[in-house]
Amino acid sequence: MNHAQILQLDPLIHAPIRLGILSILVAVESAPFSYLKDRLDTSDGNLSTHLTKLEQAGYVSIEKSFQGKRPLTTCFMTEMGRKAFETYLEQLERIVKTTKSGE
Amino acid sequence: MEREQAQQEISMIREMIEKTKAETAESGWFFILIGIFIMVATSGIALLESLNLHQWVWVALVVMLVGGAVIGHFTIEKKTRVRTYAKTVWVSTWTACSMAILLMTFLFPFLDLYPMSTVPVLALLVIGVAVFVTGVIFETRAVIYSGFVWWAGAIGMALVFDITRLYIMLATLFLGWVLPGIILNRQYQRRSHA
Repeated sequence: MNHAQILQLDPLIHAPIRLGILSILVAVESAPFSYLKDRLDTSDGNLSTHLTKLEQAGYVSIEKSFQGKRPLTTCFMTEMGRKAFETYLEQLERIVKTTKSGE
Repeated sequence: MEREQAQQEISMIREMIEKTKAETAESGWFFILIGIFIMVATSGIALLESLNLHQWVWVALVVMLVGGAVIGHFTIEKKTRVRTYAKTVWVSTWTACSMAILLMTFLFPFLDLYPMSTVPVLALLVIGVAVFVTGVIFETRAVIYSGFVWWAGAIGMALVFDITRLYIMLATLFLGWVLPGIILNRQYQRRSHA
C-alpha cells in the first residue's frame, strides 16, 4: 500500500456513517430516513448531517413528502453516487491486492 | 490505510448489502396465503357451478378479487417502506399480467372472440409467464420451474372439459404457487437468520 492510494480514496465516502448509508442505498431503490437511522444506529441529527453532505456532493437525492400527516423523508442513490461508490470499492480492493503482492 | 482496515471495510460493505437484501427480500407469505385462498375459492366456484347456482359465481368472483387484494395488501412487506428494484419489477409484472387476465376473462369472451371455456387455458399461460419472471427476479430456481407447471396446467386444461379441470387447477395452484411460496419463505427465513 502506498500513500497515493490512500489519498485517492474519496473522503466523502470514507466516513463510517456515510459509507453505511451508501452500502444500504446501493442494494435498494430507495429507503426512508427512519430505516437508515435504525440500521446505522445513529441519531436524527447525525444522520441528517451526513445525508446533507452526500446530497451536496450529488451522491444521494432526498425527497420529502407526507404519509398521512407524518412527514416522510426518502433517500435515493444517484447515478453519480453509484459510480463513486463502485470506484471506492475498487480502490479498496486494489489496496488489499497491492499490499498482498507487496508483502 | 492498512490492508486489514481495507479488508474490514470491504467485509462491512458486503455485510451491509447482504443484510439489506435479506431484510427486503420477498417472504413468500403472499404466495402461500393467496395460493390457499384461490384454491378454496376455485373449489367454491366449482361447487356453485355443480349445484347450478350460476348467479352466485359472480359474487364469488368479486369476493375472490377483493379477498386477493386484501391479502396482497397485508402480505407484501411494507413495514420497512424500503423500495427495491426487484419488487418494483415484480409488482409491475403482476399488474400487467392481471390486466391481461381481466381482459381475457371479462371482455373478450363477451365479444365472441373465443368461448368462455378457453379462458382458463389462456389465464394459466399468462400466469405461467408471470411466475417464470418472478423466479428470475427473485433468483429462485424453484419459482422459475413453477412457470412450467402453469404451462403444463394450460395444456391439461386444453385437453379436458369436465370436473378434471378443477383438479388440474388445484394441482397447478399447489405445485406452481403454494410450493414455490414455501420455498421462498424458507429461503427468506434462512437469509434473515444468517
